[in-house]
Amino acid sequence: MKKLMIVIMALGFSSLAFSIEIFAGNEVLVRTTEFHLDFEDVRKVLSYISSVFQDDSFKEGTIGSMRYVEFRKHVLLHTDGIYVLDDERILADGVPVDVLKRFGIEYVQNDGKVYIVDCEILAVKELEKTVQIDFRGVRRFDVLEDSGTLKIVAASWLKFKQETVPPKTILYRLEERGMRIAKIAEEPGQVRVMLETPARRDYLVKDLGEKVDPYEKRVVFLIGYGDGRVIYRNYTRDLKGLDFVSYSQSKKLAQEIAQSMNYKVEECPIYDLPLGGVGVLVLVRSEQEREKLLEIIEKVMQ
Amino acid sequence: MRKILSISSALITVMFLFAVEVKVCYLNEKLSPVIKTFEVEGDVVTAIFQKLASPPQGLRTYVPSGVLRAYFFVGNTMIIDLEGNKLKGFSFEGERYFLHQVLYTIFVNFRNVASVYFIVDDERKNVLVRYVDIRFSFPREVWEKWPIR
Repeated sequence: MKKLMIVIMALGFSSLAFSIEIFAGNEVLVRTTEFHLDFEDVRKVLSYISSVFQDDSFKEGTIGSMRYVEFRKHVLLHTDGIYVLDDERILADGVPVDVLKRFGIEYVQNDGKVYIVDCEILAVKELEKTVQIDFRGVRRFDVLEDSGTLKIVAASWLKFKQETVPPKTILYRLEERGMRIAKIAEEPGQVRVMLETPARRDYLVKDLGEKVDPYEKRVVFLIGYGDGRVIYRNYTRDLKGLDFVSYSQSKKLAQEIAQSMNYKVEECPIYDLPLGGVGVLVLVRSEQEREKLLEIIEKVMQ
Repeated sequence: MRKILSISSALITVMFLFAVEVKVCYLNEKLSPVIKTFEVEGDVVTAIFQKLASPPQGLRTYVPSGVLRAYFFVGNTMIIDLEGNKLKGFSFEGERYFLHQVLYTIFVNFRNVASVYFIVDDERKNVLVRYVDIRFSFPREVWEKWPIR
């Protein structure tokens, strides 16, 4: 019984050791139980590549009991367990994987797993606020955006700049403060990532006590002297939500400045901060801190 | 409206009859809030303003004595009428902290009050003294917590 178990396990291991799995992306295209491919496996791979790269040189047929496939000026014939590749007999029970290379199929082999390269990035271009990715084959890349950074990342093995690169390779990277993806448009062979960046906001810096237009549309920074704090207007129920946007933007701005200056944040309706507009009052402790604040304002408003 | 008025007057009557525990907000030397609890009798709002104006030893206040002229409840809104001449000498800091102390104390003690209006000498004003806008109501959501962080 023990012996039988060992034999079964050994057989199991040997079938695993001599099996081949051919992947297209994450999907198994071909799975064999032997070390070689058979005619049908090769036909399937060639047909797949022909279809994804729109290569119409793929032909298949039968002549009597003989089957054949033709692709990129190479021919594989099969009859009665005999394989002939371009007039040359293959001296094996099946077709070795590397025969695929003869047909111009690119792949990466790793521990019995064969990853077909079915995507080639032709170009990544930046056209004003659009990143355009031209490719051949299946789209095997992801478009990721996080905190103002856009990344085009390989999702599986693909060809990029004449090299075959592994999954997770960063193919393109663009950083811009506040940038986000507005839209992604896809069509065969092309992905266009349309970006949007908040326009640089105009702002106004005044000393506390100076007159401010109550209808000021620019972001208002009032500066006074005090114990180091940033004050912004609270919202009020009386305006029935009309001040929510300016409230949340002013609050965010106040928190950003307070964090940079290590100041306190206070919520209080300062009359000189325009109602319904975005603005803060900053109470600096010294002239030196005022200079630092002006630099921070410049940075925050970019 | 009649119902609201009768509920409000019933509440005020109850407030006059029993001793009530109130929480009052003072400031420490770093201008951080310190809450003290007192038992008061009679007119609770007047008693709160009296307590606000007399801080325990070691604590500060920006609420002057006699600053409350009158007050009204309309539904869940409270209207506080202030004595203008008591506010005159306020610094910018005093003006803001007066507001914070009063509002925080009101919202802590009166759970049904959703918003507070200030008027000065029985008139609607734009500013409390010079800087703080009092044209609009002050919502509970902001001042039921200390608004400085």
